[in-house]
Amino acid sequence: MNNDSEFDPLDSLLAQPPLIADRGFSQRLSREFKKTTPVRSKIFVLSGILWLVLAFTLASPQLLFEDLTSLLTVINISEQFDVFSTGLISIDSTALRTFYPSALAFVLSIAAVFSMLLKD
Amino acid sequence: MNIESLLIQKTLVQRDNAAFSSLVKMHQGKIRSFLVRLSKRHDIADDLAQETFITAFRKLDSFQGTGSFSGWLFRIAYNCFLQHCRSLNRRAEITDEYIGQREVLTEHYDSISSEQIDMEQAIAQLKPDEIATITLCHSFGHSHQEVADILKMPLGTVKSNISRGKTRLREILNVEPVTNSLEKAS
Repeated sequence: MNNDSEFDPLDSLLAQPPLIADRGFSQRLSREFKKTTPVRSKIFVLSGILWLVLAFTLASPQLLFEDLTSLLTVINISEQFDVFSTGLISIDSTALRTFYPSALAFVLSIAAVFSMLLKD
Repeated sequence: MNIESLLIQKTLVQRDNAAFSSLVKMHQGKIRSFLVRLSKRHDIADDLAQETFITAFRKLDSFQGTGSFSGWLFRIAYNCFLQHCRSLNRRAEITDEYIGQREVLTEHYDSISSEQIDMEQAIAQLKPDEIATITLCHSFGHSHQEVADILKMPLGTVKSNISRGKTRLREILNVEPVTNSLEKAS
């Protein structure tokens, strides 16, 4: 820094740099941050959907339901689905045969995928 | 603890994008002005500034807090610029966009005086090291030692770059060097 007590017009001009106007730069950059951070979420969603597709095509609804109920007891499901999952698990499995198992399995699958998203 | 430190902590602890966006708003003007002077192109400067802030966001946990946050950002910005020069296998060139057209300059700034336009065009004719040292020291108020740390440059080289750059600016702008009182008296 110039310690000279004399007034220097060059130093004076240099000390007043014009600053570039924002003109949406910060907003564009914020969108970039949003694009880069949820990659993990996207991977979770894709893997969840892939798992659902494989499960529905390869497994029978009954097996799928049993898998899902055991999965719900293992995974640390978020608070939002805690009551829902314990309620379902407490129901006697024979009684459930009267319900439409595929629809129930679908609801449970959605719950599982959402729980993964919330955990992320 | 000032607002800047709080925003850094919030970004680090909560990975809060909004907090980091506030930091971007605080510093984008200086970083982009610095990069425009170096690259002499507004589009390239914006790309480099974007790269600078994304790198800063990813590496924020490596910010020690010993120096200033703006100094840390300037270092990342300067590294991005050097990387850009290496990738093009050339140094930044003075372009007609920057030197020839005053209206191109005015449209990128909120306000810029005629003297400031003359100054920006004169600075564009300096070498990158001279631009970097003069901008950081005289325009953004960093000490010689801080500039040496930011640019990873020996202190003597920083001082000589500033001296050479200012001499060249005086020639271009036709500004007389300041003479001290004793010289005036004699």
